[in-house]
Order: sequence, then structure tokens, then C-alpha cells
Amino acid sequence: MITTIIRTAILYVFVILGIRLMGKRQIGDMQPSELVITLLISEIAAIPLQDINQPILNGITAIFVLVILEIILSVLAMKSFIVRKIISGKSVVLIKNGVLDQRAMKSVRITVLDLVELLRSQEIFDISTIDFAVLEVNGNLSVLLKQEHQPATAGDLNINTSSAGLPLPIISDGMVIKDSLKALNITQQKLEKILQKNKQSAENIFLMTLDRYGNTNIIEREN
Amino acid sequence: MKRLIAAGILAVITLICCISGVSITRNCADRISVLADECIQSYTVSQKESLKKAQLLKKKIVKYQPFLFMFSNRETVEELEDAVSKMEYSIDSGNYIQLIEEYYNANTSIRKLKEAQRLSIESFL
Repeated sequence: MITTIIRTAILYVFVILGIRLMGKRQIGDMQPSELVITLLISEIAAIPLQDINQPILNGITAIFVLVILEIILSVLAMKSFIVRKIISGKSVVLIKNGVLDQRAMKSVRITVLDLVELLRSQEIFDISTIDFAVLEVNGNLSVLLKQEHQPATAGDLNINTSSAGLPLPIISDGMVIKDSLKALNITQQKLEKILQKNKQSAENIFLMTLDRYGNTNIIEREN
Repeated sequence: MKRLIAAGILAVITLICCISGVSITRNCADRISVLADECIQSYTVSQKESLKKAQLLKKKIVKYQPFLFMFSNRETVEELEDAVSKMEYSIDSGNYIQLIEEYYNANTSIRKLKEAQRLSIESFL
């Protein structure tokens, strides 16, 4: 029993290491090859877990080989368009200027109902309002509406706006996040001044965010 | 670039594991095979000498077991250990037929261990 626990822990570490090395992506954002490799890694890891007669090194070696191949392929795909096309395929334009490309739809085996459903999920109910709809290699549909149907932006209305900057978490559960201080170019002393101004101490804060203009949002810790 | 370096390090570790796995298993299997042969050969000359060899063989297997477990199927290693124990018992009880039978079993296990590490088209496929 203890053997199983230790073997599981070892494999867990190596699976996490492998997945982290492959990069941070959500399942929905994965390329087909990445998804297959991720599924394969989980399958391979399960074999030495189920069968105690199998050396754990066999499983770890197989995981490592898959991760190495995936990294090499992804680097090759970054460098070469042909490799990228072979591994990931290419995006397909399904709607051009409000007109469905039926041949393209056949080639990617997508029905009109599927396409309409995908469009509805993006709150588009009229195909004629679409300038371009592209089926991406990860299965997502990217849609560009015709100029006259695009929502007005601040730029269209000539409204001057300035970026508020990204509010970063500075204190989380009473602990100061030094990386965020560094990113905002704020010293510990300056943070303490801000805390004094707000009549707070770091220990009593559950979450504090700060942007580059000094705007703070403080959520106090509940007793 | 960082990931490529990591992939390179992983490749080196994997390669070292594979090469050491193959070499350790082959070496252990060869040594066990030689001792098993000597055990059978010496039986016809001296049963006592053969028993000593069988005991030495068992000690060697116990010594090699952790390495073999790391790189080979545990079941096969246990089968080998079992066969060698029975060889020792057969020599002690003077049962030559059983000794030959267990020698054959031990050799089969040794062959299995070696074949699992052999680089050949059959093993790849």
C-alpha cells in the first residue's frame, strides 16, 4: 500500500513536470497534437500505477519522450510554416462577406446547424452581418462583423480615454506579493505609506489591488 | 529557448536512463546465466560444489534484484528468483530432473529480461 502511495506521488510529480514543460494552455486552446499528447501522458502514467509489476522508470521515460517530442515539434512549428500546417492544420474561412463557403464547410465537416450554433454562442444571429468567419485550428470560430454592424468604440466616437492599467494583487491573505510591487515599481516603504493612508495593516488585508495610478481596492480579512 | 534547453536536459536524462537500464540488465542477466551454467556443469562432478554455486547464484540474484526491478518487469525477476531457489532445493535433494527443469525456467526468465532490453525491429514493433 505504501509502495502504491509513493509510486503515485513520484508519477504525479513527473506528470506535472511534463505538463508544465509543455506549456500553460487550457484544454480548449490546445492544438490537436497537444491534446493527444496530454491524453497519452495521462494514459501512460496510469499503467505503472495500475500494474505494480511495471517499473515506474518505463512510465517516466515514456512521458519524458512524449514531452521532448512535443517541445521539439512546437519549436519546429514556430520556425516553419510547413511544419505548423502539417501538425496543426490551418484555419478555414467559412463565411466570406456574408456568404457561406459550402465547399470549405464540407472540407472541415461542419454542418450549417453547427455553424449557426457557434455563431449564436457569439451573439450573432444573422449571417449576412458577417464579413469573415474563420474556423481556427483549435476549433474556435473567429468572427469579424461588417463595418456597419460592429459596435461603436470610444475611438469611433472620438472620446479620449486613457488606459487605467492592470490592477495587480499587492497583498493576498496578509502576504505582500513582491513580484507585483516590482512590476508596479513600488517600494515596500511606499506600500506602507499607502496602507497608513488607508488606516490598514498588511496582516488585516485579505486582498489589496493596486494599479499604476495608485488606485487601490482593499478587501479586509474577515475575523 | 528555455523549454528547448529543458527538452535537451530531459533527452539526456532519458538517454542515460535507457543506456544504463540496458547495460545493467544485460550485465546482471549475463552473470546470472554464467553462474547457472556453472551450477549445472559442476553437478555432474560434485553435488556439493554445485550447491555452493547455487547458493552463490541466489545471493547474486538478491544483490541484483533492486537494479533489475528498476528496469525490468518485476514478475520476470521474481520468476527467475523462484527458479533459482528451486534449483538450490533440487541440488540439495539430488533431483537432477527437477534441477534441469528449473535451470530451463531460469534461462527462460533470463532470456525474457535480455529480450526486453534488446534493440531490434521485433522489440520495436
